[in-house]
Amino acid sequence: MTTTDPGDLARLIASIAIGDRAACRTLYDATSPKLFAIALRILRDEGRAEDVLQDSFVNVWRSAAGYNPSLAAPMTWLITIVRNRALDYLRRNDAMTIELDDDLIATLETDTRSPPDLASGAQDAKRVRQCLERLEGGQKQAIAFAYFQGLTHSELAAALKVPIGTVKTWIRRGLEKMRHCIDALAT
Amino acid sequence: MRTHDNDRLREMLAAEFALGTLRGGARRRFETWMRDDADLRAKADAWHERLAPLLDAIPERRPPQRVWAAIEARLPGFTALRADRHAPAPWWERLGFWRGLTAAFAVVAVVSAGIALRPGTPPITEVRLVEVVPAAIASVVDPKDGHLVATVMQTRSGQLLLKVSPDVAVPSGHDLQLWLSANGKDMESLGVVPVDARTKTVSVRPADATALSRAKAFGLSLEPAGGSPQPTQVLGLGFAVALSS
Repeated sequence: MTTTDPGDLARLIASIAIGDRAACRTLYDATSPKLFAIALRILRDEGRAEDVLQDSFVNVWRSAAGYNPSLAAPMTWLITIVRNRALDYLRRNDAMTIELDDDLIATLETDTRSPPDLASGAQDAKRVRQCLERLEGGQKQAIAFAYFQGLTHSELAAALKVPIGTVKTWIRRGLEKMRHCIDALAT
Repeated sequence: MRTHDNDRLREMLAAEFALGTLRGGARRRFETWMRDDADLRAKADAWHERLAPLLDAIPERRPPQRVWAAIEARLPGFTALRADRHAPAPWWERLGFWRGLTAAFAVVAVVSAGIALRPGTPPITEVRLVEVVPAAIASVVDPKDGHLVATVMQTRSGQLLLKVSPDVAVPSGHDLQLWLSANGKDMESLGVVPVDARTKTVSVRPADATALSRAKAFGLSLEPAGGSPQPTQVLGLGFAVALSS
């Protein structure tokens, strides 16, 4: 089963909460391709991404009983577990230059022009990409590279060649604008 | 009373936490604050929901087989009894909670492998825990902050299993009481819950045999010793989720 229907995922998590190993396998098969890709973007290292994915699912097994579907969508809950662990695992030495995903911005921009998709997940994705697209260049780049690649303020400053204060301002103003934009489009 | 500025700061911290730019000591401090602050958790969750759809742009990538193999090896539910009884128990056997949780509805099947590793050594006996998946499960949570108070499981044979969180405090002179609701509002008593239920899964047998077929939701409350006709202090509520076979 490769379902990503939130109801199915929530039921799998509920089954995992009472010890159903088969449900854990099914959840893994359905969601690990996306979760592994997310970890890989942040860690840039296959071995470490595999470790993060492994630790994350053991964490899912242990904390499934505490998952409350009314507070978070299942996929968001899983993504948050993986992202948090990947950011904790992130170690870079000073000599390493940060490579920015040059095609990232282009990919995000192209998708906002694609035909409308009626599935609600696709609407959420289109909405947030449109709101990101509306930001000024610096704000857009700082937020995109921070989110996808897990870059810190100082890494962004070095990669974008601007002072740290500028990066912080870009991020804070950009996030505020995105919140108003997303929340307005959602109503 | 939170000031407007303080609320803006909390909102921005939650946003940067979700974005990933809050790091190191500041990130750990924020995670500590979130444990006790439901409003802060709600802000962080809202930001995760806003940003997560961006990740749809990342092409999926199937991980290698060895990752699932490594996860499976760390999940409880399978033990190999070695001929050498002095070997230490694997870590998952030492987690009393799991034994309590699975013992109520696990069937232990002993299968003799009959294979000697070395000539003259006794064969390894495999002990497998087969877990029965219940027909429905309800996570009973505190409506104020969403933390788990109890788990209620209904088996296909009509048995009701209950496990209360060990964190639930029961002052002396009080009892826990379990309720079911057919409409999500009105509560029918299923009886006083033995205090054992905080350390192991207990079986609850309703006096009315048809009660379980009506149950849409379950509730746990704190009552004076002996229980009450109506709930006085509700600790948690949870809707039953049917698990398809």
